[in-house]
Amino acid sequence: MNRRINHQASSQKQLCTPAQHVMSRRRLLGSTAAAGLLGMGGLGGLVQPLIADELSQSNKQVLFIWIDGGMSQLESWDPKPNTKFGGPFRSIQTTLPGIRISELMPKTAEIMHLLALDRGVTTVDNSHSAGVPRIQRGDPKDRGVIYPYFGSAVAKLMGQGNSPLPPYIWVKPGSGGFKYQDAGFLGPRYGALAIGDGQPPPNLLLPEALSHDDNAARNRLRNFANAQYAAGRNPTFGEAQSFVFDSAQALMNRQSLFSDPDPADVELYGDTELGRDMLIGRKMLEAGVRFVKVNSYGWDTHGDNFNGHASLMPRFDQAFSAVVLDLEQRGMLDNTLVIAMSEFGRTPRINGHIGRDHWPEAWSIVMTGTGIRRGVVIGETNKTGTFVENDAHDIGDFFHTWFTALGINSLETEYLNNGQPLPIAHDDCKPIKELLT
Amino acid sequence: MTSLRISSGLAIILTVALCAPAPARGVELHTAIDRLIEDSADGMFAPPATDQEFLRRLFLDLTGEIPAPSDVTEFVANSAANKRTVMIDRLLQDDRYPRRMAELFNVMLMERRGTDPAWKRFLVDSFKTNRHWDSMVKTIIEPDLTNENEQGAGYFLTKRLEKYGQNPTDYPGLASDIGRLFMGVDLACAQCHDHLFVDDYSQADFQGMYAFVNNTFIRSDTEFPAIGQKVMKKPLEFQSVFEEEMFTTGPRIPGGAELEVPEYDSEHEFAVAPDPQSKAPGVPAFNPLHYLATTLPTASNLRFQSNFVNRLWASMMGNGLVWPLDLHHSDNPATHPELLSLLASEFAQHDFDIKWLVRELALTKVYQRSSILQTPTDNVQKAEAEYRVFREKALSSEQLMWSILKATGAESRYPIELEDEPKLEASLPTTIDQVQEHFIASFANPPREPEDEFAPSVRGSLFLMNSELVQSWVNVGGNNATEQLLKISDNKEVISSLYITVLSRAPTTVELKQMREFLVSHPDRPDAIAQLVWALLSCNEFLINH
Amino acid sequence: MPLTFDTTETITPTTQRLSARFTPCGKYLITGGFEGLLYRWSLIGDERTELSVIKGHHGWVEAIGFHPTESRVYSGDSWGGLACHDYSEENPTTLWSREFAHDGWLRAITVGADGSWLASCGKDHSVQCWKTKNGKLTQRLVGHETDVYSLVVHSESQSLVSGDAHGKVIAWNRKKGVPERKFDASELFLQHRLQDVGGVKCMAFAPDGKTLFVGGTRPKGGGNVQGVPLIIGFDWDSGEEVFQRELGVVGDVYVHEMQFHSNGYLMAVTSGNPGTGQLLFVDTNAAVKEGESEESELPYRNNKLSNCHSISLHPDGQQFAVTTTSKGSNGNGRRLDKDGNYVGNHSPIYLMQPSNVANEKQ
Repeated sequence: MNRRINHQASSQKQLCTPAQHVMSRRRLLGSTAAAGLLGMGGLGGLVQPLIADELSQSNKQVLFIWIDGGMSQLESWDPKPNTKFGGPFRSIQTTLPGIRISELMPKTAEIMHLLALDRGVTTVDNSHSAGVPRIQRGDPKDRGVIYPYFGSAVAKLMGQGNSPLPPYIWVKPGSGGFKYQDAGFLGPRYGALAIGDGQPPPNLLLPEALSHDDNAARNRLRNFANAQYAAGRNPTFGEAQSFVFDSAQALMNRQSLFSDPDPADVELYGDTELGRDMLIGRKMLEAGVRFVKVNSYGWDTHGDNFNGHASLMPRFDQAFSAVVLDLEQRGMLDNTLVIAMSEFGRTPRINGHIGRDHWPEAWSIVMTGTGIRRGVVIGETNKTGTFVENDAHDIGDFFHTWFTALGINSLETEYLNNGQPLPIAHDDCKPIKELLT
Repeated sequence: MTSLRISSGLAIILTVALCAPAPARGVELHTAIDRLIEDSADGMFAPPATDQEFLRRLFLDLTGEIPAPSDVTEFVANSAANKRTVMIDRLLQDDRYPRRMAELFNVMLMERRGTDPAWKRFLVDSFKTNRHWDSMVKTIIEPDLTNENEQGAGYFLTKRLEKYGQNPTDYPGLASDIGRLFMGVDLACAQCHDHLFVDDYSQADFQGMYAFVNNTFIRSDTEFPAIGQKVMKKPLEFQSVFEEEMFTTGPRIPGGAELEVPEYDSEHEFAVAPDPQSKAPGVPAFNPLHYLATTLPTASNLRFQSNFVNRLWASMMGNGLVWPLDLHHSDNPATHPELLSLLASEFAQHDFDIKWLVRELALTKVYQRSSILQTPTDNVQKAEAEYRVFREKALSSEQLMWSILKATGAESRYPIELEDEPKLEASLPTTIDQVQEHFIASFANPPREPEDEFAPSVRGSLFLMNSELVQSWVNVGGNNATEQLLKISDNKEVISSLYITVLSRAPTTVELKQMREFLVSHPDRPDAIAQLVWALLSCNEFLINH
Repeated sequence: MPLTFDTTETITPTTQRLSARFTPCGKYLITGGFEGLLYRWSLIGDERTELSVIKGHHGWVEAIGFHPTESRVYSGDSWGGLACHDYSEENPTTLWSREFAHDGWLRAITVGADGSWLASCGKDHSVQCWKTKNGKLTQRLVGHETDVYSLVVHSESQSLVSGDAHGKVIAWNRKKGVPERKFDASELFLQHRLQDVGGVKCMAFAPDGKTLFVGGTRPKGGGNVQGVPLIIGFDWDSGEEVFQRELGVVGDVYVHEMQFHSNGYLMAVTSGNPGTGQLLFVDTNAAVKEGESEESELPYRNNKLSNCHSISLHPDGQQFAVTTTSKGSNGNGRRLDKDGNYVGNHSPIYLMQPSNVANEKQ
């Protein structure tokens, strides 16, 4: 029996739990030729292919700093010292008059004039397992597909530009390799190449016995063979296969991305795992990678939150301020969108383990770079930091904002997923004008 | 041709029943297939594939590896008119056919979740004895545990009951996978409500499937993977997240009749009582899995037939008639509906004989067509969609492994089972299973992602370019291909031998010239030959099944 | 004969409190809280009265010390402020204060036996000595490379000892103003990703002054800190480790405070995951038992108390006060009370004494 459900009617009720909506990107609708599914060749993936070409010429890049676990906004961007929930720490002056941040971020206080801060963020999910993907996907409306993470989205919308390197690189502690999952329905090509623990991907190094000349020669032979094969054939498979060899070679050509860092840089960024990864991130951006995500783990301070943040924050402070200043001094900040955020903030209420729990109700997101106004603070929480006063922003608003900053019309651009047009950011949200130039 | 849409679940059955064309008496299936393709095509057909291309394609599809040079030369030299048919029959009887089919079905059914020796044995034995598809599915759902060759079949279910990561036991996933892989319907999005976009898939359909599996568990009393069932005492209750009304269902396959859940008193709950000593869980008197095993894989379940023939068609022809393979529904019709129903009904009439169907598909002109368009102005996508030109296909990690080992002559280095204990310090693999792991790590999809698309990866390229393993195969040593080629002094002969070994054909004049130039100019001959081997191994022609 | 204790009373402040201490005269219980406030409870007579709060601090007031004979309380806060008040007055006057005594969190205070000096330590890596009379800084001791968490003074020699976040313990030569000896309690520390986890949370000398005990956790990981509570004992003369005792499981986390009871046992309180807390009496004369599990006998264990953060012995040597945190103190997301307010937690304080003492009193 056909039962048509009115989707609109459901908007008040909570839909199925996220676990039930986790499904392979392969659950696509409608019939299509296999070539369309490959998502190759740029065309056919966006409703307006001409826009795709324009964007791919863009030189804009993204540095997305993901602070996994939930950085405490009360111990960072939005301190409420000497209040009931404010915790033990003081606040300090910044280079923006009247704006104070936690004493735990002295270096960032010096560059506040370069940053845009929104203290009025309210989101929906207070769990890591569902919350992290939801935030990184922009928490779009449920349309029965798995949306791509921000990095995969940008990789798709803007391509890799002039760089032969993969468009989406993820620098993180732990395992490296090729992470498909971020790409959602866009397909594995738009997944992330992860650099784990600062290590190059497996098999990156040319075999010792082979010289660069040898390598060039054998690849010329390979290319010759490919040209012979291509005659009279559908180019799609051949191009895709060649493309991955080219990407591999591009990575191999940039061994320096993985070599030991300059001691001066280590001192600047800090001799920590985040310092290491932020530095690799900067190098990736210099090499022209379109989207670099840098992860920091260990922020879920349900217990011992204050001693925890006392050592976590300064190390973040050093690496973050270092990379922003570094990009600025290298003339890269005008073309790079820099974002630093978590999946939520932390509770004002202090639990028995002297910790803070998850708090999506009122937290902060920081950004700077291309298209973003510098030295602005918008959004406000109340005196005790429990809730946002006046208008709050959801992650969908930020996705609109960031796409706009990158030169993408977030309100009109859509993915074309095998005949199903899909907005790139939540329909009900819009760009935050006060953050944009 | 009319189609009555009475109810979503039954629609497809009725639609097909009214339109399935019966093949004219005396016309074999492969001929009927070609006729239907030709009737619906609109443009120039590519000619038959060359002997070399056909042979390579056939070997890869039926034995899982490229042909040997001798296979190629003999086949090309053979002037018999029916040589292709003879070759098909020969390969269907080859020892490697069961291995290849087991690998193909392992990937299709397990989607890289893992491997188990008893499961492998079940698959290999099934294809060795040409176990028919209905019997395979029945055995997977309800294996005869006293039969050594069937014992591992339960792995399909047990592996999906294992928890991964922080997630609870994924009963919904198992219910969905039975639908996807055996009936071509993906009901995952109909768990909490009727499917939002596919009218044919209702929540009742999902819940009916769910009722078969939500009382299952992994047995702890067997050495091989096996399923037990708890007593199901009442039908499943469910409710849409959008509406208040409560429904109930017993176990039910989509389009099928609901199984009533009887009430037994506690004395009669079990047909075979549990044994506390051996920890055998017993068999409940009300046995949903038994019902599933006897009603799902049957001639009356059209979805069961359509699903298989579509998947086998996709595997051999490069694309499903229905795409995606697990989303058959009335708003997603086949590109060639008559063809699909013909295949389905013929398959059923031949008692789901897999080998017969493989043979019929291989005998078609469609299958034997060239992958090169003769008219460059033709729209190649349209030509492919109409099967006027043959599509390229991906090679699985397994096909790549066997083919690369064969092409480089390194196969003999890896016994299937080691006699002695492997050296612990060895960083390179010593058994074929270990080599397999490298290939899976480099080329396969992550677990739970179907492998039915062409998806080359950077890690695969890096593996081919720089890994110690591949280098050990292409560099001179262990009597491999490079070493053999080194013994030949005549450059032309070297190149010809190289091409036939790696690409299963003779080189063209242009290729001879280019390769000869390279050989001559390179100072180190062993090195040069190794690079030539590598280059052909890494080129598109080798890495793609065309 | 097994130890048993009675709770003689329960004080339920409406806010969270950090440490609760009996004054040397036994007439007051003083606790520090958030928002820079120092609270006083009068223990005179049967009526429990909360006296007026002492203001002037900022942030969290955790460090508390007393003059041995005069009614002076010395308190330190998390902004680095140090102050002295007369706690016996109805509206205590600030006798002296140093707003910037430390740069940031002032973690602990200890007062010399003769009452003429006190020491403080904190997040600025320093240990400082002050004249109790007027708050004049007499010494700045440099030697720690991280946050200094705890202080203790040897009763006989009046040696000053400090312990830090990395598990380093320094015994100072105050005359020269330099470290004299170091003890390695790095088992109490773990570097996990960007976080320094653990540290020397508390210290206590054995009554005979021969052993120095340090307490904290054996950390398993950072973020939501987990670890097994751990006490280590060093021979004071030789510096050798002579005692080690794990006190619970991974979720019990920290030994927050220790003090020797007049019955000879070492009282310790632990607090870990929300709702988890223990009050323990440890026999420190038992042989060294490394990695001993919770099943082996302790003279007393009470794990019904939720998140015990401090313990303080009454001058009578029998009674003690344990500060805890309300149950149900944690939870993600918005939790509002029936009036729609977002409420914080509070800290019930239990006054306890040995059961036989209560019997004797009767």
